[in-house]
Amino acid sequence: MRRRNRLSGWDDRLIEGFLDVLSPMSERTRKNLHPRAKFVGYPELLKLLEKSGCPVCSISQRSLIQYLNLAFVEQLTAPEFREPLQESLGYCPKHSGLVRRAAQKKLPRMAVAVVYEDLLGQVEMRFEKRDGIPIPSNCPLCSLETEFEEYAVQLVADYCSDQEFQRQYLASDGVCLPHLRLITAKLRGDRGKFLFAAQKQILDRLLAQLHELIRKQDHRFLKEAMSEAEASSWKRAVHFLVGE
Amino acid sequence: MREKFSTYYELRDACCRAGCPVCRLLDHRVHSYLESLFYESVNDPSVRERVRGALGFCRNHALKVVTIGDALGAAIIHEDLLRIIAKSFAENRLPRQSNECPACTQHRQFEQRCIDTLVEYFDDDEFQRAFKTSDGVCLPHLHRISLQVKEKALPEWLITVELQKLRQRRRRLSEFLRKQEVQAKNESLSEGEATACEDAIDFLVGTTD
Repeated sequence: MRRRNRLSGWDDRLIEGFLDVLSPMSERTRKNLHPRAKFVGYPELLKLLEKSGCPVCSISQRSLIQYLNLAFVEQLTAPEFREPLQESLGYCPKHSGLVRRAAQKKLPRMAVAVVYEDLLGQVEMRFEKRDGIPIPSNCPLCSLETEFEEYAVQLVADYCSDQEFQRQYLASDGVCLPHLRLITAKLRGDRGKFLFAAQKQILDRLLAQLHELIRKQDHRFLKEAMSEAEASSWKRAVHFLVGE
Repeated sequence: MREKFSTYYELRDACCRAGCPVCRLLDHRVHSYLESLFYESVNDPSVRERVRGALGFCRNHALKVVTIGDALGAAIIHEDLLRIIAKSFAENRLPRQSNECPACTQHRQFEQRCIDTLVEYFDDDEFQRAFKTSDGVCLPHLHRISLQVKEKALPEWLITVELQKLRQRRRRLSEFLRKQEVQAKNESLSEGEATACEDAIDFLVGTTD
């Protein structure tokens, strides 16, 4: 039976996976512990297709949040976590936004305060020396997100010939345009055709809902009830173009 | 006496609000641009052409579109975009993007104007007084200012103000941490201490929300 960690409630095997990503590891270890084996599998991908939004975005966002929880709770004093952060002076704007939102909900604010107090100390030191204006660069979460994304993109590419997957995919919101670009780059010949045809079908459905939303704003049809899917269609159209 | 333009006054007034004055002003300007685009320019052919060329907006500005919440305007623009994309999918190809996000163009142009104005009025007493009462500029904008002044160094008064604000931020974080301890559990957090984490994040990368 798998053990669950006392603090995070996570499966220990999952934690080991993240620790491998966190710590500088040898090339051999990296090859042996490919993240695909750890984070999410085919059944979970099918479950994500039942929900609204791009499954690749869901996998990478959820993995990032899980990583942040693990890092800020259990790796707070680990040099493997803090040193790259000191070098990069925190995260890029996109991932700082993620940390900012997580600090208001899931992340322990105390841990966030410890990390940022330290980072401001680094900036203060540079200011005092009149050593130029430091600027955050090489966000550690960007490379991690690319790794999570790469894994999820490969997962979709691997299964897009599978009939069960195809059936669920056609009923779902599909993947967002940025991830569709990454997936189709991995597919050769006919394998890419399914995704284009499926996305076309998904977009046609979304277009019909958008059309109804626009029509029902007309004073002549204002009394017609709007379905939930029609009301949210404009938001789904925005997210289709840029991801979640 | 030098003539002062609207950006000068807007920057001076933004100094009274919380956070980096340049970020505050930019955020307000881009928000107004997107609001007016969806409210009154949805059927403007030149606007539609730019939006089509960019295949919509970048992620950052697209999320702002969602926040603005103009369902009808967004639906009209995105219906058009999705038709173009669906057509390319029917031909088994991905759509091409030919120009940058129109809101990014606005953002970049206005940011440059703000930085130019800041540098131009460094020695203006009224501006210095207003700036000293502000939270100071964020690190990315301070970096932009340092690039703008090029061979000249940043004025000492600006570095002193920034250093002072930075120390205040650190102090608030330290106080927040101290008040988490059991010995200080009865002490309440001030408003600045309660938002010290967000303030520190915003200082390092500019306003993120």
